[in-house]
Amino acid sequence: MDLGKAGDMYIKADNELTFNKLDSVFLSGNATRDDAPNHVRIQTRVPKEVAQTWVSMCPAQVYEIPEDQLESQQAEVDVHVTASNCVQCGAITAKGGRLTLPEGGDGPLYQET
Amino acid sequence: MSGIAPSEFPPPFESADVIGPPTDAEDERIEVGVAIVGGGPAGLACANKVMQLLENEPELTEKLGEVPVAVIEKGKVAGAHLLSGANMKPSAMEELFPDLPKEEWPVYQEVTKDAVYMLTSKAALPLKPMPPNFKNHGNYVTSVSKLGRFLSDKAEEAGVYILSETAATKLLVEDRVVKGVRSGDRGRGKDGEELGNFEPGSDVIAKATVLAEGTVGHLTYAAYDYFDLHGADPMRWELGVKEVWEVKEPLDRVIHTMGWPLRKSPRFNEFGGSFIYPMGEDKLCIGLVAGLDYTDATFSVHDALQLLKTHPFIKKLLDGGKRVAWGAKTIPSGGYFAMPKRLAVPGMMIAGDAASMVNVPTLKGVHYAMHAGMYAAETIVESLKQDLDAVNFEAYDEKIRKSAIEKDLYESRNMRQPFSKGFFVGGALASAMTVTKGNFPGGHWKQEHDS
Repeated sequence: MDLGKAGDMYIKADNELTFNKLDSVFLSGNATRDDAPNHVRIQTRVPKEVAQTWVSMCPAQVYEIPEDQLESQQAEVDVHVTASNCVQCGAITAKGGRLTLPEGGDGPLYQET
Repeated sequence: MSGIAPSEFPPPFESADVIGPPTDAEDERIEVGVAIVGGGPAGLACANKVMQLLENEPELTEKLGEVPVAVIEKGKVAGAHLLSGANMKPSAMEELFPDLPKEEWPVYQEVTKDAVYMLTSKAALPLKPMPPNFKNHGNYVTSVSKLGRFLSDKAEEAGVYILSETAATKLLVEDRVVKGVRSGDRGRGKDGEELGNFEPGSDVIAKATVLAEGTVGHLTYAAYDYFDLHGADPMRWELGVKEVWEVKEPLDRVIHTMGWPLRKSPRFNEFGGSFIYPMGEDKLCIGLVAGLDYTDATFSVHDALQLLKTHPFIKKLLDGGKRVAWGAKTIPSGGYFAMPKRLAVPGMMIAGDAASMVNVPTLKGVHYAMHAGMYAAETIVESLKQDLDAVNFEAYDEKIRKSAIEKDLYESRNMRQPFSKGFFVGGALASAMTVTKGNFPGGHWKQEHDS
């Protein structure tokens, strides 16, 4: 993976036609407990390219790089995981991590997707 | 591909940790006839079919005990975790419910008009003639989360136990025979500690186990490792992000788009496209799908979908409307060569997306999943009728290999690889493959791993 420029194309949400990830997750009916064990397995200190891959790829904003590390020139960064946002799409398993199962009943409550 | 592969930083996870023998005392185990993991099209078609077949088998029904079929579903209800396009081929619904009028199907409408467009940032150019893999005439626009609820209601009416809000966290295996699954604990805290409402999971022991976990199956992929089932190609996936919109004007056709905002340059490896389907008079769904083997770390399907909606052609369709639902899901896109080597191991079968039963170029999987579930059901009833302790379900493997599932997936086996990729292959090569039923160019095109 390379740190390219796809991200520069994307636009700021206007909340009518376009939305940010957290608003999207909210609409999924996700009801995962905040104090549940983390069910997303990744290495949490990785090269910036890998961390950014997860941050951008995840449609539910599960992964974040701390802001001070984002600006720095360091090669490796920390990845913070907010597993309660996860809608269990499975993408992390395709890109170097592993989705395991949270407690039954957690996750989205899709109605007509 | 350049740069660093995320796969160089493997997760702290061992398949062996989620496979093991039952641990509950014998009198505390939950005994069922058939344990089905996953309340999706595959699992619920299987459950319904088993009950239908048991109607003529009073003796076997008796022997299967109080709970002849249990479906273990991690979502709040069956359907809660399901997301798909979806333009469903009607064959599986017709087979499973031959007497049910189509008016009662959980579908929005039959497809009567299709269109495919190539997008630039400003324009939408219709592709004519339409690549044959995009033809959807006679298929039905549905929502799999609705379909899941429908199939689950039917199954319950027939006597199936739907264990919703239950995660199957461990595959129970003894002497290399699958015995069932263990349900996950409830009420653990951040560090795994037991909270006040803690309830331990239970061993669910079954005469036959069906893994119908869908894409990225937790136990399925562990079983691939444990039983050495990996197919000829590595598994791969695409990611789809989908929204449902209430709109002022009904959409009169099924639309697929290719091109913008995905970038053309081969070095980005951004392959995919969008789908826009009518859902009755006042709703439509719009989704963007892209292969997860792209190379730019800043690429986001979610944000690319937002950008797509600002295209003049798309914006017009949503004008004055309101977003009412959102979701995301991966799609197994490895196709034929990523299917497991064997679909049955002693005591267990694998069906649907879990087994890569998706025809990527035609964007079809729901009816394959249901057909596979029904084949599993037939195998279970035939086998257990002969011998209640039967563990050999290889007949299922044979049924699939002789079926339309295998035939369709075989014909489209090389379609993704040439473009390296995709659902939205478009273009001459994939069309040629469709027209020649896979004979041109033939052979087996090698795939790279996603990451």
